[in-house]
Amino acid sequence: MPESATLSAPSATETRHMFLNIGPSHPAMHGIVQLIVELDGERVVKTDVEIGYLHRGFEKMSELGPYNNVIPYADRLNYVSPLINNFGYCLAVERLLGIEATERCQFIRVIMSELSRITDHLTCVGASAMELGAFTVFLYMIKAREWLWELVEAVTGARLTVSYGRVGGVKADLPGHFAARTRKALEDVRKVLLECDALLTRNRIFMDRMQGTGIISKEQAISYGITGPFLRGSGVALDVRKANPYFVYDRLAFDVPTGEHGDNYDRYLVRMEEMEQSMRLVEQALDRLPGGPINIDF
Amino acid sequence: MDQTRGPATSLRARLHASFPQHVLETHAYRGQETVLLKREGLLEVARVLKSDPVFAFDFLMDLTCVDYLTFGRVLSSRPSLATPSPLPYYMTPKPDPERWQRGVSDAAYRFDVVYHFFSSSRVHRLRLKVPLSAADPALDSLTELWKSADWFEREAWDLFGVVFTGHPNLRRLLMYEGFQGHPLRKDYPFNKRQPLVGPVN
Amino acid sequence: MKPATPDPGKLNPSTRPAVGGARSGFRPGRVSVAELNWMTTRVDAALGWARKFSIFQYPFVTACCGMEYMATATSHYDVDRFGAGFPRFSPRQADVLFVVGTISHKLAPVLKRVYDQMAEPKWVVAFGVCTCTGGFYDNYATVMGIDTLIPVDVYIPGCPPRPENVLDGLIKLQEKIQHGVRATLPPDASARPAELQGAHRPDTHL
Repeated sequence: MPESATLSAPSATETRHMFLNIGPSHPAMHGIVQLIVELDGERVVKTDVEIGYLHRGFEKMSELGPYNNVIPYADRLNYVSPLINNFGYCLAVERLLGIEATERCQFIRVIMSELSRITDHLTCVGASAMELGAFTVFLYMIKAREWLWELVEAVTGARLTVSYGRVGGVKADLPGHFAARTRKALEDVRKVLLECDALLTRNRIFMDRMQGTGIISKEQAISYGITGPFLRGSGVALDVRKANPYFVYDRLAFDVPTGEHGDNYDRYLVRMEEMEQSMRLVEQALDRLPGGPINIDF
Repeated sequence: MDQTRGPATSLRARLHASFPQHVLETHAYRGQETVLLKREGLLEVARVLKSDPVFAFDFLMDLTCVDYLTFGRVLSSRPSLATPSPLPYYMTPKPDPERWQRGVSDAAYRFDVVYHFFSSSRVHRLRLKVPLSAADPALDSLTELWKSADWFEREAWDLFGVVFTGHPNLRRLLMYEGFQGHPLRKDYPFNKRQPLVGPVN
Repeated sequence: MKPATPDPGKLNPSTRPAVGGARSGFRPGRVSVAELNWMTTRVDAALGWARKFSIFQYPFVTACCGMEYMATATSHYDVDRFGAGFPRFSPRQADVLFVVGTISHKLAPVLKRVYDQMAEPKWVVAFGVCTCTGGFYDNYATVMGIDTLIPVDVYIPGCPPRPENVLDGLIKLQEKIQHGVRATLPPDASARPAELQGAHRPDTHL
């Protein structure tokens, strides 16, 4: 343990870093990770991260059945946005098979993915606000998430572990009145987001705690292979939906919010803005949804 | 995207031209450029892939491993603790002799370590595969070039038993330290448990 | 001969009224067993009622069920109306251990330790099918049901269970708390059903 001591000064104090074990069961109750942090007061000097507490052997289980059997496992990879995982896996298998899903299916996949992305960001931002003490924001965001989960349930039959994608299509078509319900739900979600924005973004406490903390620079983010809103918060304007478009993202208009400083506050802002962009995408896709079959025949 | 790049100047062709002594084979199945590399050339090629502006691969997106122990072989039909996981019931296993004509013999080819690279500036991708033998599954570590290699290599060591020389901290990532064996290998039964507390089942 | 007058102070239940003993002649200093039993049951019932509506839960959240736990605990399906709205993230301060989500073998010693650190009386809720029986993760990494490690009071199956299921389970837990009933570990693995005892589970895939 490093220690520093000044010699022969009567008021000299010896300081040592403190080691604190956070987890694996810890109050941030989503996901388990063990952090053994070395603290200098309140500043984290070094961390040792221990993962594997939620290793459930997906890859090994995937060896045991046909390709569609993997889809329930794919749901549970990132259980906050399970539809995106479903479709990511289905897209990989479809690429290997050399097939492409029908146009209607691709639009449906875009709509469901973006709804899933909004629920993901709601959970993420809500939970991080809760951990800072802003429990009200968490409640508001979970309320908004419930509305979206009701939509997801209307389409897929399940709120969370949906198993909706299939190789070559999706499980079932969108139900009747889905477009009207979605538009209404997105209006309500927008109101909630405005409220939460008013509660957090210019909040002195929130800003003090989130600005300048957890800084990841551009080079570090790229070297660690980070993608998604984390990377965009660090200033790299890389979104695979724009760079390597899949499904019908190249036909839909949306912006890619990018942060500057790579701190927690930028990542929060990126996520809030991405929710708005996702809602834009859903509305465009609903407008342009074509008819036709949803599963290809092969 | 670089419009002048046609088949004659594809990534894999460039790589083959630069390192003919290391490249075993290349293909672009389904449009995904793949290069098979000898393990001695891995670090050198990786350095070039990162620094050369033609390639400019700043992202190591994925590093994983494939175990070919049961590939093309018929096994028992039910998984159990005694026998390894079989091929899925609908796959007719066929031995594939062409596969083994790569300058490596059947006995010496068990693992493939697979690297996926992505370039954010040039927006292209490349896959590198390095075949390894069962007797000596060792390889150079790429942690000095991409930090993402750190945990990926730990995972490959943990689940497959591939050793990465030069890795600063090669210990188990997902399983606990006392775990015996490498679970994702095809000869590890899928439901063989080694509990720390509690009964086996 | 005069019949013996029963002495009210004597321990003789047959001479005391069967119901409402305290109402008919309670004399301080001369309390019968029946009266004592009545009082204790009333006190127990009151304690049970107080305990069941002030559940301090320890949410041991690991995986996907955590999302449904969040949904149950907050808007729409509020668990605060059961008095369980205040999670306590220290085992010393909690009385119900909600084990939410898959427990892997790496995490099992941690779960055991957290359970051991909780003070009596304590109850355990197995939330989600992974904690009940292991779910569909019949593999090298997963504990096939936490009742192999700690005694479980209420099993809430589902992958993940709907919030209505969770509230149903919570009400069942409240009944248990009311009556002070607690689970015990089965003596050994042979107490589990026959088909779950073998080294290999029946074909659950395909």
